[in-house]
Amino acid sequence: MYYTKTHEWLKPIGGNLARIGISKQGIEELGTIEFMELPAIGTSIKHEAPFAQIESTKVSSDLYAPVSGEVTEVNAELSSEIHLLNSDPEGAGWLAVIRLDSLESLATLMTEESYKQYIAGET
Amino acid sequence: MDTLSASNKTGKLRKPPWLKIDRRVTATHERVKNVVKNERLATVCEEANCPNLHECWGQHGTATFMILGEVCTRRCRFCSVKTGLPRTIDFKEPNRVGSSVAELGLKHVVITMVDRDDLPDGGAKMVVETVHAIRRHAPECAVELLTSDFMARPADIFSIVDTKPDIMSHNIETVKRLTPQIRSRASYERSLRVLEMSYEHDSSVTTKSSLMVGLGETVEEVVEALQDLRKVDVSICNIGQYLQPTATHLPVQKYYHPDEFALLKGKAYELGFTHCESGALVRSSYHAGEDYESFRKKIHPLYRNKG
Repeated sequence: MYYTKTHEWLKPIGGNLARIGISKQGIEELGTIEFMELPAIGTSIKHEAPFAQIESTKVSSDLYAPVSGEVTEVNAELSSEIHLLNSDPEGAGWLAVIRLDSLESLATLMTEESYKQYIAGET
Repeated sequence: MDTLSASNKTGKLRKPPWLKIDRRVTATHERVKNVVKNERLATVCEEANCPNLHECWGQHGTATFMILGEVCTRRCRFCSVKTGLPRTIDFKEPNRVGSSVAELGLKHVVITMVDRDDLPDGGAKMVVETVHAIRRHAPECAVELLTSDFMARPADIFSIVDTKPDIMSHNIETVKRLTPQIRSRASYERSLRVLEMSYEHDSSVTTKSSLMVGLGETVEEVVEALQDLRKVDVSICNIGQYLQPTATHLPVQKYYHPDEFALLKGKAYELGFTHCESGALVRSSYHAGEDYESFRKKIHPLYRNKG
């Protein structure tokens, strides 16, 4: 599992495919999620650029792409079960599957260990 | 395939565009976070899930420190700070706050606190110690205090005012009618009394109060609240949009349009406030440093002469 400073996660699932989502810490900071908009399958997303919109009870915000690539799948279950984002953000609340432009882009992400340190302010 | 929209279909109000925040993290943000974490300080930015955290930490390099722990003895229905029986006092906290203010190089700091109804003095002594520590470590830094009501005990309030903070702030939070539903163990009259006591004790200490809109109040009620604040000589007021921290907190009744915030600001100036910030994302300490600078320019003869 890899993470970004803006609290997205990425999990390689074989080949150049990876599943992405919002981390537990990210969800904790956002609060109760009420609405979200995911990109269509086939959309190109760009490293650190907004790729989805999310609304919590408090505010709305963009989610930022952890890597560059193409959306090959989105979690359709969220359209009726948005509460999965709050109850299981790093599991059943995944957002999309991305075909990475380059596996080397994983090196720009934080590992689980460095993400933990980042949250604790030890960077 | 179309974009996939997901919603909990509970008929909640969608967010207006002016409530969209930028969550990107800057190096300045990380610097503030590292100081806060290393010094084991609590911030109301984090505890209240403030929508401005990324802007304040990331662009302005500042945070609002919340002293006396992160557990509050009151359970106000708009606030996401934890409620419970607080731990004992950390007597070294004032010093860590002071050194952190110096380390961050702040020119203006806002210090707020949890309610400590468990302590005989409500935590007043620790507030005093914190101001002293900031003055020791960062003598140039303006200190703005945002305190609880101390149940309007004169000794506690006077001891704090006697430290001569640059701004003494206490929030009425909402209009008179809604106070019992929204705040816990607080009263509208007592809050006004606290501000009045501060001003009567030392009128050279500027007083400030903030309130949220969108909880079901009318504009007339907001104006009445502003009038009540002017009656006790409050000279700075902030007005901001109430935002629901989690699904278990009070729902938002209305999102005010920026034009409506502008009207309220105009009303505040008409009523004689020297400074008013009014806007959706305005909070008690939002842009507090910049506002104080602008306030000083309005009242200070040297500034005034410079035009």
